Amino acid sequence: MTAMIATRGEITWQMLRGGRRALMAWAAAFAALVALYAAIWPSIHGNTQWQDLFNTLPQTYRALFTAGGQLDLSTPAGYLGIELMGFLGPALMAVYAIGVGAAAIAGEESRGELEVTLSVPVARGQVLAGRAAALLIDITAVTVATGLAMWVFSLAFGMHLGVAAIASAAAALGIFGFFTGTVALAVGAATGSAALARGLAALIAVASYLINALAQVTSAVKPARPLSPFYLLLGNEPLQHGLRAVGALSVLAVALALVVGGGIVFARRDLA
Amino acid sequence: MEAVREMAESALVVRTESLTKRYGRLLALDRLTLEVRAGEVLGFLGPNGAGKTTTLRLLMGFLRPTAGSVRVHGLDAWRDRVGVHARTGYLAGDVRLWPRLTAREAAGHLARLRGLGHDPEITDLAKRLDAELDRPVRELSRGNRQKAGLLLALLGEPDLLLLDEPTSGLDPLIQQEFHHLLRERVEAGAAVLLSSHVLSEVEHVADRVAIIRAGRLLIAESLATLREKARHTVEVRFASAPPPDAFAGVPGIRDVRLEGPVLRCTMQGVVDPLVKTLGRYTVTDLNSREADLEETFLALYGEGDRS
Repeated sequence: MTAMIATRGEITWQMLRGGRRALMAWAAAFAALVALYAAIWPSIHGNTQWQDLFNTLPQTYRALFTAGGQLDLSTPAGYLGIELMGFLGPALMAVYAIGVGAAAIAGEESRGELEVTLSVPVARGQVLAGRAAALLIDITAVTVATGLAMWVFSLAFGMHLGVAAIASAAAALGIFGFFTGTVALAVGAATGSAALARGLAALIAVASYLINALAQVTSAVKPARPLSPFYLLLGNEPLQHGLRAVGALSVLAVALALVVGGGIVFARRDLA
Repeated sequence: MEAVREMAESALVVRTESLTKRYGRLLALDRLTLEVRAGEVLGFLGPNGAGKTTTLRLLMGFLRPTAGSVRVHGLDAWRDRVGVHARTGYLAGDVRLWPRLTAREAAGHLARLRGLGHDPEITDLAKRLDAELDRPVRELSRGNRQKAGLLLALLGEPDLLLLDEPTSGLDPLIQQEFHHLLRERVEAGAAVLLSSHVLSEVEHVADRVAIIRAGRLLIAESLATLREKARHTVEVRFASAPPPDAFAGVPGIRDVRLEGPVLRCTMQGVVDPLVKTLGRYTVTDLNSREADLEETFLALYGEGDRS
């Protein structure tokens, strides 16, 4: 058992080492993005023209730009919730996570590098588990960097965001990213195709975003809304209303199931 | 009797039976039955695309057999691949290592995954193969990358080495040193399966050769037996011209060309029948050359090609 944990740790550590430069770049990018939005806040604060303009837009349009359909630029949480949490934050997080997840198994396999790892006495499922752990650590690191940046720059620019609100928002972003990353990881492990892994994961990320948006305006889509990870994590605007534990845990459970399912197929298929 | 059989079984490191691999409609491997014993090097020969790599990847449990069985160290290679890998070193035909790691870093990673801890033999091994340990793999030449791959395959002194075209890209001196290394491992009881599309690469190190073509095993025999079947080109000069049909009835003789006092012919197998016949005449000069094994294969199996 300890040997198993040690080898899995080695697999995880190896992947983290390989991705450390990308991780630092993404963490810095998220921090910079937060800093930028925070720096603009003083000039937005008290300006009602944006709010008036937004209210004149069609509801569909408003739904696409906000996770919950409401625009509140009068408070820092409302402002950052729109700018960071409504689209760009989750989108960037998904791009990073999908890249890491698709590269972990399928990327190495398509370059022919996976056979070396899989020629040692470590089960394929263990390799996948170790790399899923590395994905989780990578995403957690970017999430923590984003949360820290929110805390620091909110203080610096007088936004006064609460620590709990910041933690909820960062966690929602992180879990959304981890979910999309596990889709890419699992599809890649199951099929060996990095392109398919990236494509399918991106499709699911976009679909979950669109379902949440369209459910607000179309009754036909409404029943599907609770199936959208985007809705479950970001639909209630966690920066203002906190993270919904049930939603977050369900998405994490699905992510775990994806890794397990991917591992089962991975262990039973021919390597490319 | 039972004990003897058990010993013979346990000495079988690799055993495939009617091993078949099909990709859709393509039959990559057709009922291959192959054995490798402890303490021997099996040269696995065949043209590119014959199924050598497919066989090795089936032995490693990378591919699932379509039919037949594949056992390595007595374990099912597909189901118990972890158990197989614990005692097997593998070199892929197209070595792809992590480009940003050095061979030393890659060896450290694999040694930890194998639970070996620090691996002291790598420096000695690297010296013998003249391998570059401390530059990232992406900066290495093809030959040096091949050496790095060999180092990783030899890590932890496994009981079985599955090596796909191990000496391709290596210069002859390194190739020779590598063969010494293999002989040392084999004398210590290891089994080696070494694939190549060129006979000369395995001729000096293999105890037996198996030849595969289009997914089917043509022959698995000891090198000594093959040599017995090898052809000899014989040239004889006589004091005076023998009668035209003097050598027609010699068993195994082919391509007889008798031009005055000079006989040129090919002998299939041993030359003894010819020597006995030559005794009837006065021979002034005799020259016999063994065809290399490549020619032998062509002679033995080339006919099958045309049919």
